Amino acid sequence: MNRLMKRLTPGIALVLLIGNLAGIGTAGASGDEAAYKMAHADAVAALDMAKKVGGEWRDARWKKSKAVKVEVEGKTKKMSNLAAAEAYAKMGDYEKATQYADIAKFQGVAGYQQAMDQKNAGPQF
Amino acid sequence: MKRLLIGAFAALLTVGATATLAGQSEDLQALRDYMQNRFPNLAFMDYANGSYALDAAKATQWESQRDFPPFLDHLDEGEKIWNTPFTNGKGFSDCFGSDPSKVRVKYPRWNAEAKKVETLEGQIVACQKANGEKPLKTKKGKIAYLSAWLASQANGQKINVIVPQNDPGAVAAYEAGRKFFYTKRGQLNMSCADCHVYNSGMQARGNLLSPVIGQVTHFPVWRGKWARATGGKDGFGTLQRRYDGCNKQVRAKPFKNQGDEYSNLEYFHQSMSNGLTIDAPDYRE
Ligand code: HEC
Repeated sequence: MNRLMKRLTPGIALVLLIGNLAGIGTAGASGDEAAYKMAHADAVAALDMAKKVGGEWRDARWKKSKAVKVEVEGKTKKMSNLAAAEAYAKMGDYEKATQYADIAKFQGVAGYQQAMDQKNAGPQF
Repeated sequence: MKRLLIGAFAALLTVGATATLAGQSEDLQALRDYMQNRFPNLAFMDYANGSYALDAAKATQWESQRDFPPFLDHLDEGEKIWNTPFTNGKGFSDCFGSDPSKVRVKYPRWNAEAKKVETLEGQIVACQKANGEKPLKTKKGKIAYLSAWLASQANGQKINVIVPQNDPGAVAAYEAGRKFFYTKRGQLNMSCADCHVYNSGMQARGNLLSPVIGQVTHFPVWRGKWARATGGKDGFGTLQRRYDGCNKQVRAKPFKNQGDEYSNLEYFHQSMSNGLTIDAPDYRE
């Protein structure tokens, strides 16, 4: 592993970990449509906030994202987390749909927070 | 109490330091000094060769690729596009002037009336629209052929993007571009500067990271990677197409091509190569 990746990996791992926790944390409790709908609305609201400050992440809801593989009518399709949520909801799997909506929401919240943290970004030399 | 005050004062100082608007020439000097320190043996003009200036083995490979430029037909097509009249009888020279060697070096620039940064590709499209033509797509294909041909006509001239310091709109656009460059974004939480300043010259996933100075002299670029994706047919892409690629690498959502974010970024980014000679188009991995 090179020096750059070594320096970055702990940060990335943390982000991924939190991402996963956000997904798993609420999954069990939400096999129903109403919970999914709330999670979806929350995700959209969070992503809209991130968008306003230019902080959206690639795999949250970008239509060209290939982050998540979903089996749709016997075919594997690649899509964003929010699109995966919608695809699972369409198939009636509200538990998985809610999981992916929660990940999208987390990414919206984190992207917004990141942009806020970077308000005074400039050269460090 | 005294210690607390000193602490508070130090905090104020650091906030001041990052928030200070240094101005274009100070930015340029600071960046050049930083790079000079980082690469004491690299001559200024050699920055135009990007990562190849820092890796002798890759440079040899690159030189042999350059002996057989894959883009000559595309440049011919670019020239044809320049010379093809619009349906209203006018042509690109009515927008850009009749000397094609004087076009590339005008951009990017601030348009004080429209209050926005104009890029070469953005103005190609604007010219088409103003003349009732169907505008070209701005990342690749014909626009890149035309832009590359115009750049090739300017070879030997120097990049010289000047931000009018007496125009607050221009200064704000430059500052926005500068902020974009230094802002960490995406799931990997990295800024352009993290790769192309602080880690320039280092390896990242098998790539040697080029220093920001010199990154624009050869655009539109012909990339082996882009060519492979089209079965070798077309490797051309504009500078803003490259921005997309780097944003995707850090898992940030790419911004709108020729939108304000990228065009402001381009204003800052190109100006950091001021003084370097245009040598376009060129091959890159
Ligand atoms: C994760 C590291 C990384 C980040 C962050 C990054 N890039 Fe890059 N960039 C690369 C790599 C790798 C290459 C290909 C090797 C090279 O030329 O540096 C590259 C190439 C480029 C090139 C082409 C250089 C040439 O000689 O053709 C440009 C221009 C560029 N990046 C601009 C940017 C901008 C602007 C940003 C911020 C939006 C950015 N990059 C962020 C990794 C990164």
